[in-house]
Amino acid sequence: MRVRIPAFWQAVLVLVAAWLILSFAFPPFMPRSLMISYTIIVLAGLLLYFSSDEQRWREFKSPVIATLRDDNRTLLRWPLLVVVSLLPGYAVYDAVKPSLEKPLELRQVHPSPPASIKVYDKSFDLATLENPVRMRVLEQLEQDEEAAWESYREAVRKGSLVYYSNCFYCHGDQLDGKGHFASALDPLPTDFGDVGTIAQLQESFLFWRITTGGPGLPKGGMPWNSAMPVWHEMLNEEEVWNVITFLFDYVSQVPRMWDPGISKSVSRMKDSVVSARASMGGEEIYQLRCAVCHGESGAGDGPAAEFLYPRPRDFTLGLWKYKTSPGDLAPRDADLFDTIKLGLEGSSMPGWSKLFTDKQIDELVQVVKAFDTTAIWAPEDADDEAFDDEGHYLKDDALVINDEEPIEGQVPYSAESVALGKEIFEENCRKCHGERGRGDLTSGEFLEDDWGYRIWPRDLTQPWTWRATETSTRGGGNPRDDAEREATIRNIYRRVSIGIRGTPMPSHRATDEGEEDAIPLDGRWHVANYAYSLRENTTWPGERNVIQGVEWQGELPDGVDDAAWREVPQSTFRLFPNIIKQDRLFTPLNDAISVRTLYNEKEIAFLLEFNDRTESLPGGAVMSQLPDQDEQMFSDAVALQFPKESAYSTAPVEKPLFRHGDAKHHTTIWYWNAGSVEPAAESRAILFDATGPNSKLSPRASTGDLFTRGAWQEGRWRVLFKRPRGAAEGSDNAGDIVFRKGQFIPVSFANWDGNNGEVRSKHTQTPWFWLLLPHETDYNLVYGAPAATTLGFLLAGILLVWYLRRKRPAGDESGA
Amino acid sequence: MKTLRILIPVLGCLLAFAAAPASAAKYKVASVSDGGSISGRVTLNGAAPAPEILKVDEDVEACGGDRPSDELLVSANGGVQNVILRIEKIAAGKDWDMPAAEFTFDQKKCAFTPRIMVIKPKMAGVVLNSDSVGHNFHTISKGVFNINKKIQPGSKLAVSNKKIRKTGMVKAKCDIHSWMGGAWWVADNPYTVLSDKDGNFTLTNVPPGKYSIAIWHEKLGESKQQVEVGAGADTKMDVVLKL
Repeated sequence: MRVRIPAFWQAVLVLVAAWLILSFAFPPFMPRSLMISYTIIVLAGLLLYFSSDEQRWREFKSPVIATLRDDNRTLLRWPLLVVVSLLPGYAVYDAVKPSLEKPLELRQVHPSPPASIKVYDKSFDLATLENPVRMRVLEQLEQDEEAAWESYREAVRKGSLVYYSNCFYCHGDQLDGKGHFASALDPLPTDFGDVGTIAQLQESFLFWRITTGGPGLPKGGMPWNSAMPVWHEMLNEEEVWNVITFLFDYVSQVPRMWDPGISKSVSRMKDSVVSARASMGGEEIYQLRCAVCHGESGAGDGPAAEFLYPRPRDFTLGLWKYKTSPGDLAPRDADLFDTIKLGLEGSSMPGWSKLFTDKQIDELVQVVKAFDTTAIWAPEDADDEAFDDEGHYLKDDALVINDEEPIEGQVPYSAESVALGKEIFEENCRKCHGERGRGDLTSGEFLEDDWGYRIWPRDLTQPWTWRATETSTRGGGNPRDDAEREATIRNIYRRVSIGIRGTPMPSHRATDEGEEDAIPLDGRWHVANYAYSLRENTTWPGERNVIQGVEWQGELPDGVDDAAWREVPQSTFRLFPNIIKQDRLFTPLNDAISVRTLYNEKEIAFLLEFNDRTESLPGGAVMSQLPDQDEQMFSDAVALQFPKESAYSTAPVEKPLFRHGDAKHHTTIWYWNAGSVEPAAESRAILFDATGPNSKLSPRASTGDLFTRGAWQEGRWRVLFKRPRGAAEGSDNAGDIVFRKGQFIPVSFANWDGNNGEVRSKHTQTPWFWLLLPHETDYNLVYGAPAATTLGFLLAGILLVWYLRRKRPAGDESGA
Repeated sequence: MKTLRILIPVLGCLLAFAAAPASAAKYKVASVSDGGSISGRVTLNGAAPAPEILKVDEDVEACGGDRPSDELLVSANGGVQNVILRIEKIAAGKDWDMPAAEFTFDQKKCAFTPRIMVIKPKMAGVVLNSDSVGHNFHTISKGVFNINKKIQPGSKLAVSNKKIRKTGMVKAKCDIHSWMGGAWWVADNPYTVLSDKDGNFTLTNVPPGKYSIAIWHEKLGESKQQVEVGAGADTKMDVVLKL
């Protein structure tokens, strides 16, 4: 017998099903408000459906009315009424409670392209545009297959050079959107390996996206958040098509094409490339994937090398930074394996586990070892004939080092051990790593690596920049977990004991007879514990992405040391260099900037803090040894940027382009410069108006109501900016942002490290983040409104019950 | 020194002199009959420049104050000290006649002593620290001897005879006290000498023949001179280094 579901329950089922589908069948970005309105539409449809027929309506109503009226439902009725009344109360609470959820930004990932674009003084019809490089190859394929492949390979090779000197900082070595600057960006750079990206697109779409960059996006693509440069300003047409050809080649995908014949030929070419690559040996893999940075002969001199700091490893000199073999022994094969497989965080070396099998990595380890010219893996009794003129060992019995640095006697992490470690640190490490571990070289020495390139001591307060040492950034878990901490400390211990070869970091454990440890066993563990503890006051990037101002009673501080600042939570953001617009910067040193915000009725104050190893005041005596000889020293500087009051909105979100705004959306830049000793110049503030990526910033004649103060100490700048929350009517500053409570305000940052040659367009920056001065919690509203709503609904329910029971048809006392 | 800092990679410079190709046949000891000698004096092609004053701004108490650089040492009569002269590519000849004992390389008043030394291959030795402050003893070479070790006051670094693996240049520095500089030349043949404090040198018991003499000075770089040695004769070879 068929079970018939009563009409009311049918409606409930449909509603629940609709809610579940909306929640789970769509990408997790469906906003709550949209879900609620869709559900209401479904509900309205259901009511319409059931009320359109008298019979159905009665059936639908009957269980509801019965519950409200009948005597035998009393037990169900009253709890139900309470629950039903609580629901709208909760909805009201949800709406009025203070929210820190930032405005929703729904970005179209593949916005629709325009019909045509104008670049290179030509008009390109995007509907019909095809990649001329690929078309030429396909034409050749008909006549001369060999020549066709030759020109294809040439285009890919040229495209690869374009990619590795322009794109890979963000889109990554493996085209997965994880370049070394990517973590500073939001949205993240496109992952070309994802089959949902370029494999779905025509090459003309890529041509549009590349040549016109972020500013060429329609509003739905949120151009204001994009760091994608306008490449037609920096690359010629041929280079753009070559790099497009390279992208598809690298990820083994074919573009979407209209002509089935052409599409088939392109797929065939792709298949043959894929099958050839499947059987590559270590040497071929090296030349295809590694040589672009490490060089064809392993000397760390590939075409991408000059854009990188740290530079790619030179494999020829037997100097390996991150190894676990003791002393000056060559690294273990496992060390090289781990470096290839896991990569080196804080550098441009990615982990290759997705692209290479373990067996391929094993082969690569042998390839890398064979580049050595210092005989570190040659057997001791190897004769001269076993080496070539450059010193490469030619036989296949290269040594495998098995000795491992002993990890024994770990001293548990404790305040006591940290205090002991601090003493040892001050004696042995402070001169390079600085008083507070920020790598600020209290010795004032100019450090070089063994190749003669400048090198800086690690900032021990920023673990996310550490390589092969901080486990939480190396596939580990939460850095605050005990196990993670112990593992990280063991790695610090290894660095202390073994040293970092090829750099000024020395070893501290004796490995030879007749020597004593530079720091004894316990001391090395204490100092490792201390080095770990230096992160204690660090806010990691991403921990608090909305900057929340704190309301302050009374005057806002005038100094960077004021105790008030300690009560304000800090937000930290990653900096990335200006790679967007010429002149570009590729090798920044400062990595992150932190901000705290205080405000009162009249004013708002920002404290910017950023670690900078050098106080760059041109002509200053303190750091006279530190400047690079080939780099002019400039003044350190820092800036905040806000849209003009009328140049942004939060619903829907609209902002100026994050680099200097655009023609329709202007910004104001609050700039502070540290000044110089020679020529004598005090530190100073300037207000700039920015009106777009191609127009010069214009400084205002006066800084008016902007108060600034800066101080450098122990490897850190702290710079205070203070200004009225709104400009006076009719003043020079009219039109600048007004800092209102409850309003989400876009803000971005920039920093110039003068000692690193940073000046004008050469600087680091962040994209937009949100600043919020939270509303005070109005307890009457937050709790009163929901309570009143619930009470109202309950009252209405009671009245309804009373009314229904009174109107009950005669003879229906029992309700049976 | 700091103002003259050159950013060309250090290794690039030193390798020109340092790289005795690994495949070059090893020097063989053979009896030398009718051996001649090469002797002479190293001078400058001009007046000796006043030495640069090195600024000592770290551990001043232990190191002593600012000091003139000892990189270019010129005697009152114009002789240049610490110049390495050696016969290039000589396959066989006299027995090793350098001091057989261990070498000692000290760090005193934050300076390397001796500043320049010539040692035999596979020679053992010791690096001392006679100062009251620690040094980061850091060598740079092309696989000859690479180490970077903290040496505490009064402590030492033992260099066993297995550690020095090849012949060629080893530059020494301390990353805490950047004014400290020094170098070892690990000789590939016994016809390798260091000029004395008056700039004099002698290469003895040289088989008769034509030779190329490589001349190296830490600051003035490398040059070469050709010389012909007659049987049993002393050949004069004066060297004028260009400033």
